[in-house]
Amino acid sequence: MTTMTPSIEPFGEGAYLITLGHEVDEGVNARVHSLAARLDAAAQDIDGMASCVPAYASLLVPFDPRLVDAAMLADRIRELVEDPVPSDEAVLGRDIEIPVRYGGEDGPDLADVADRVGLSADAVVDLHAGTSYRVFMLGFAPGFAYLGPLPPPLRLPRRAEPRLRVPAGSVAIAAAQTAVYPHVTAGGWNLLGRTDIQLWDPDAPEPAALRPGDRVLFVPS
Amino acid sequence: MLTTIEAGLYSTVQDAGRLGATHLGVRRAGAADALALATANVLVGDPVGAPALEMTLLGGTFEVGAACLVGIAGADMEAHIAPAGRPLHPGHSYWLAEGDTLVFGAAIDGARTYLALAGGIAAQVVFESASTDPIARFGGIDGRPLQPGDVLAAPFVERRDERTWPGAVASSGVASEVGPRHLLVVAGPHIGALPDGVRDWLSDSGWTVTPRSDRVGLRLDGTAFPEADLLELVSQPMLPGAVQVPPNGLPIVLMPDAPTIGGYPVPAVIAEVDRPTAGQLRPGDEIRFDWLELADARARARQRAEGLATIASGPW
Repeated sequence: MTTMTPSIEPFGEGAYLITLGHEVDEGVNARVHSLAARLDAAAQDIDGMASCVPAYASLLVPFDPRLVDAAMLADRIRELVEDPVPSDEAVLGRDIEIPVRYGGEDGPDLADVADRVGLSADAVVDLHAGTSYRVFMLGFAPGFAYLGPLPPPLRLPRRAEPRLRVPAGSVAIAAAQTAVYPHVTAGGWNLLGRTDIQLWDPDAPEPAALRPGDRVLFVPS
Repeated sequence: MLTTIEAGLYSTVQDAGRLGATHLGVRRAGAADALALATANVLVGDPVGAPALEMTLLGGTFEVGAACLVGIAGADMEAHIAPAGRPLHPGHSYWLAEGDTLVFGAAIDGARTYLALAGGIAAQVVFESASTDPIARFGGIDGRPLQPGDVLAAPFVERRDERTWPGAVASSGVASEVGPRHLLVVAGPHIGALPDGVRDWLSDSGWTVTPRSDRVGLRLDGTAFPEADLLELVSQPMLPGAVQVPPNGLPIVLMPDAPTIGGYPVPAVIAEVDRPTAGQLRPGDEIRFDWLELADARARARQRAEGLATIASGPW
């Protein structure tokens, strides 16, 4: 992993984008979430600050420039970025098991993926289910968690043509990532299986079932 | 109170947007032309960000069930009361009588028309916003576009007078003159990491809005940026208004329903004052981008907001 100087760039009038790295890396991601937690805590008493939006190696800090001095905010962000604090994640991240029905109608791309990576379908399932994955971030759709890193033998690109309709609960892979689609959406990832676990409930106190820092294990069922 | 007879092409309840749940993957939604939303709301005496109906290209037909004050702003859909044909114009609010039929036709300028009800349209509020989220299927009316039979109602409010928007003040993003629409842009977060020619590429030539444009993004046609397929980045946060360069090299302007995360570089962001203009673009429209310094962009946005607040507070 190459270390880079963090950058803080404006993203339009009302946000800063903090970039800590350019790769999918667990250590960098831990620093992103630690920074997000500290910024959210500091923002609680300030009018005009909204929650930060974390990603793999970057963080968006939205604000209302009519209520918050942009230059002062940039300075404060830089102070926090340059003074990293160890993360509490090892303590707070949960271990979560997700039962999956692999292949058949539930996993229409399993055979094709096996072909393309040169393994049997069973070997693909063993590899996918054989390791636990970090939740790196939520995005794309409510409760959609980006999980990884995927074992190298399973890494292949998105499908050439996205599907217009991916069933809810579909378990998918693309590049170094794996994910579960919480809702019916269009989608271009390769579908290996399906789960009945509900990953999104807007009425629950915590609507998203998965949090950044959690570790997920898929269990063939 | 209005009952939907015909829903129009794509009509959804929108307010100022859903900002508190982006880190959970919930898209921001909200009116594509926030200025027209504000105008329609001020015309009926509601807060600028109150929920209203956003109609796209072809509007709906409504039966008036109980007398109500409605405000109209944005594109002109040649609205009228049937059968007598009394015309209703954007930039005005009108008292409608029980038994009236309110008809919106095809937009003759712009893309989106906002219909506000005095008191605010009652809709499902999730994460402190009534905006419709068709992916999560919540907000607005069951998280979906309007259908025949849907009722648009507002809580009871005191009787308010009809208003007319001051003619000299912009009331929406609808263009007032013919020719290419100009959109002010500020430098995006990735401009430093992109090849030097990207600034000139974006502002030197014109772009055409393609029919593959919607509330997720405006897909533009024009001169592709060379080797754009080499530019993909690790997935990171995105914002409506961002101008992305995807692998085919043709810009996409993100709109309110855009995903919260993306991997295409962003050389530019539509200035806040011109996001209403973006929300009124139709397939076939020609556009040009003009660069603006960030400090100027913030100043213009502040002036617009202060101007709106002054108008809203009256006198009327």
